[in-house]
Amino acid sequence: MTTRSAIAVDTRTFEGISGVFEVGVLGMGDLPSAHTMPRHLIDVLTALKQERGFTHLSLLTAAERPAETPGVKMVYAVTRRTDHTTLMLSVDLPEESLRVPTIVALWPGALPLEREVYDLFGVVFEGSPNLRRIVLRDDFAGHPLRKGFVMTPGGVDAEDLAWALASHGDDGPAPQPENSDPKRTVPLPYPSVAEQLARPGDPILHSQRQLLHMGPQHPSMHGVLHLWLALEGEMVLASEVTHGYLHRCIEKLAETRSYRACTALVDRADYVSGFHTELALLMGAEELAQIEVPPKAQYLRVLMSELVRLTSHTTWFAACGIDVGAFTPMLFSFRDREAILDFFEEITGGRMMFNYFRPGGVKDDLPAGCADRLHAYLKTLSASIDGYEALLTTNEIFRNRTCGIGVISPQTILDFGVTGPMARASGVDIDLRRDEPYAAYADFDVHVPLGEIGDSFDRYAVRIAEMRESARLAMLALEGMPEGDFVTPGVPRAIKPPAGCAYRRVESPRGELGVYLESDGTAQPWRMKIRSPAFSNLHVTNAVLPGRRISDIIAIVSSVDVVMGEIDR
Amino acid sequence: MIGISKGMAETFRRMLRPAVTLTYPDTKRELPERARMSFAMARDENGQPQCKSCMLCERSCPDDAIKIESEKRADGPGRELTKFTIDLGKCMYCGLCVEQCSTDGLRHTGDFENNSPDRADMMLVLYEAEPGSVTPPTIDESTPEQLAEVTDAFGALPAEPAEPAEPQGGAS
Amino acid sequence: MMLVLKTLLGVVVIAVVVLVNTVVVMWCERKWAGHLQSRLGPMRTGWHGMLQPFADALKMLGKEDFTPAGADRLLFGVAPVLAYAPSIFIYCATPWMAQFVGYSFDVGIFMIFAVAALFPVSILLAGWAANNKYALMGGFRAAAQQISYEVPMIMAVLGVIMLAGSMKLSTIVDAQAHVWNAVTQPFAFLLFFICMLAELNRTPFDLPEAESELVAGYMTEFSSMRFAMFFLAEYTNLFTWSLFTSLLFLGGWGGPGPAFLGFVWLLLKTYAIVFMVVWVRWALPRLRVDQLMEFGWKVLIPAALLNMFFTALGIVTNVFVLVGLQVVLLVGFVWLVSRIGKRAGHGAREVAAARASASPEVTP
Repeated sequence: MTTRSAIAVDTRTFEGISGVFEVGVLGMGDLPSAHTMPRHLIDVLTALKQERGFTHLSLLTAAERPAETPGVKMVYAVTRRTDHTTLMLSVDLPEESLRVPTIVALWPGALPLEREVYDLFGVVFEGSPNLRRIVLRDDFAGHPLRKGFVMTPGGVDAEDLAWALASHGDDGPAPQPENSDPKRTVPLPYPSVAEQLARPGDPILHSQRQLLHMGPQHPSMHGVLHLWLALEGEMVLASEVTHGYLHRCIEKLAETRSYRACTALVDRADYVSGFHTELALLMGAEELAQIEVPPKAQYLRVLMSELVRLTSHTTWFAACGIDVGAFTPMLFSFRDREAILDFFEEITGGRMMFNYFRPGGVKDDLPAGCADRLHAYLKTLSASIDGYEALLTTNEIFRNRTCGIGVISPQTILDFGVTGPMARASGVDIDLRRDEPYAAYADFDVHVPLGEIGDSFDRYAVRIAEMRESARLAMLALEGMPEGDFVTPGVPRAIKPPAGCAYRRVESPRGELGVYLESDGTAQPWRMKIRSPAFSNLHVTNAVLPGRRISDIIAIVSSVDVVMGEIDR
Repeated sequence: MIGISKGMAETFRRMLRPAVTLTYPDTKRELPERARMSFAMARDENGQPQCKSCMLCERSCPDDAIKIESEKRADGPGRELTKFTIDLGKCMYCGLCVEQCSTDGLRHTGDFENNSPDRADMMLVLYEAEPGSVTPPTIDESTPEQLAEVTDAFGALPAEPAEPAEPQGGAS
Repeated sequence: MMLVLKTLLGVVVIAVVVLVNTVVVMWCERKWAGHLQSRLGPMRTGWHGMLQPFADALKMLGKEDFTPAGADRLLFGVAPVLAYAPSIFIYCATPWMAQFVGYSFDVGIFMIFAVAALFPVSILLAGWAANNKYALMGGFRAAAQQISYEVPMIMAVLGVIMLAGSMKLSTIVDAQAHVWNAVTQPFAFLLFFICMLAELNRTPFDLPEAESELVAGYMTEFSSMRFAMFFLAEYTNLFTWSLFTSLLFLGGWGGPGPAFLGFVWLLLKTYAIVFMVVWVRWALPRLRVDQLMEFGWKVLIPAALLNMFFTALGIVTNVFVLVGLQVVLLVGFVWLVSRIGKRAGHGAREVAAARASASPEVTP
């Protein structure tokens, strides 16, 4: 566990990099932090990435600056995987010049994150190859996460309706808005749909290239994912992920709610593993407000995290089977999911929307007798998973559909900020439960399964292994559950953390889930940002899909384990 | 072929075993005690609602789904509840109101069959006093600490509770 | 006059028998699918959901009959009819019992395959007419798939024809009075079964309507009774092909007991095949389109050719050679398919390996 005293030591990382100042004084929680100017940003990040080994871009977001200094603060977090150090870097942008250079050349995965900041804060990223809105519709006026943004009341007006009815069908992605010098634009890190469509088809076959909208109302797009596909026959030439259909303004809403109400809110972000978002949020809030968590609560948090990972992976397994055309795996795995959800209902009162973790602990202890029944159930889970595997693992057809399909290299994993089982399937050995133990994970010996080549089958195999591992960890948590309080007594119902920032991460079923919290001393967060793992994991498909067939798209996207609620938030 | 036959054997094995389906609504699962479903208002021994209009629930509700109407007690301090409604169409069943309740009067019930084709049906009226039927109080005062917490979090209560309570404008 | 009446009566009887069986097949599929997945299947409409197909039909009738704006209205209307008509038309040459047959062609099998070949045409029409990219892709997939799999299917039947020495279905059934073709021709039986799944667009060959890829394939834009026609055609075809399988390989109406029980035996065998098809559907994933074509042209057609050659060899020598060669083919085929599964990548790579590296001491 890192503590606040670590700041003084770790800020030495910045030594010798020009353009960095105010090291470690930005109130960035316990993470070493620094401040830089827009013109130095690229140099600083290049130095950090190439000389100091900070290869993983963990966070790219923005926050409103206080009213006395109007403007936006850009926040970057980079991680060094060798010693699991994370640095926070902030760039202040004054109101009159909300412009910052793009870092797509350093991390291609920053592109969608920058688009999100552009969309919600109006920051222009100079040189970005594709600076369009990402969660809101293209003609939305204003940038809603700015504090000055005023929501227009009322329903759909005539202009909106006209826009919706006008054919936005086959034009391809909308043109991008204002941008700087095209000569300085960074190239797109994957094939462009518009460019591919503009080229002629195969001269021998006299074929015509076509644009296909896969989603948002497509049975295997995991809700409302939308892919623009440039096709020649069934062959994908370029693809672009489009989303935002499930945007519920969670980050905006959080700014008007107490931390407790936020817990109920973030359950809805990643609705198949709510505990992880709750946990990341509360770890940040507890860090800001300096609240201790008793050991029993930490064990309960581990138990719940692992159980919810099981439910999340069973959901993935269901989708995985259906996407390759096998319907039965869903009914097998949902049977176990239902059993675990029954336990959740008994313990927390909710089956999916738990609202169970509290600042300083959890809401309630396990009900009487629940622990024994849960333990007995978890013992039978291994046999159930054998049953799932009988359907797919050695099945020749399934192997043909997944082996060697959608191979992602470790370099691509780093470039796009991919984390979780997807990264592990490519052999990237990361797991926050083991690397940066939070809650009570330091007491557990977490085994991390790794894949070999990073194809869809490896991602399948890694998740199956993780299910067994989660069942084992949950049983260990039940066995080792300490006695004592389940919540720190005396924590007020409405906490008011002092002004400051915190960035806390947990290992969700999809990867590195972080919550960036900024408090201004009131009972509501000034800014809450969810670093969604599935967001980064999904955008890597833009680079993976070209060259594959339509059937492979499904096999690849399903192996990403997409949860749109978490991506759009 | 071996992999294929494994899967077929597994499905066949399941076919020989009894199905796990519960044929809802013929058979219903017993809901655990903590399940957060619809709401009910507990009554005291005199049949009066265990609510003293402390507004803790209304102020803690993230969705502004709770609406409490009350009037000043004629015979002493505190306020008398006249109407308590929860808009289930807005409610997200987070359970914060039940948790905050200072008198343990607001509770969850096991009733989850709340669907309706009409939004008006989603207004759950937990208590409505008939005009002029205000009776003497039977419950104690709310604890000052709880009130203070909520005041901290959501802004001060009206200084003089003689005014009709204005529930809007709590947050932000 | 008598002839007209007799024909009309025959048409009515056959149509009723087929329709009733289609409905029963639909119900069986739902119930069996349910139980294969630890579910109950339909339970509310009648005894164990017996009336579910009728409830579905009523629902279909109540749905909006939708035609997309850019559709070819004529073809869009014709396609569902063209899908359903051949599936009934086939029965004019189908024998149910020794004496109970619409019209006993000498080239019955030929006629049946010729009529069955109309089905992909209707699917292609449907895919084209809907003016939808997914539907079109489904239509193309269906056409390519059904043409490729018809070839090995007919070749597999050639062995049976050679054994019986006739293309007349009743002669083929009579030739199996002592021993079924499934025993003397086990490999041809397997081949026929696989091709039949492809002809029926059933898992693992349900690519034309692959719902996770192409929404609903060629049926995407069809609703109401137009959709119901396709649906009905599909289940009629399922029953039809199962019937043919039992005629060609399982001895048809042959069985112990008096002759009138033959109809019962035939239905029993047919439903056994229907169960096999349903079972396969609810246990397996779907192939990819190029893998499907590869499997058809590079594995099934050569295998079917070998089957023909070996059958001929068996006929000129003796029955032991015939069966022995079939067993050789069967073993070879199983080995080949298993190898294809491994060739796709790294066959040695097992989940077990990942599991071992993950948690050496998995608590039981």
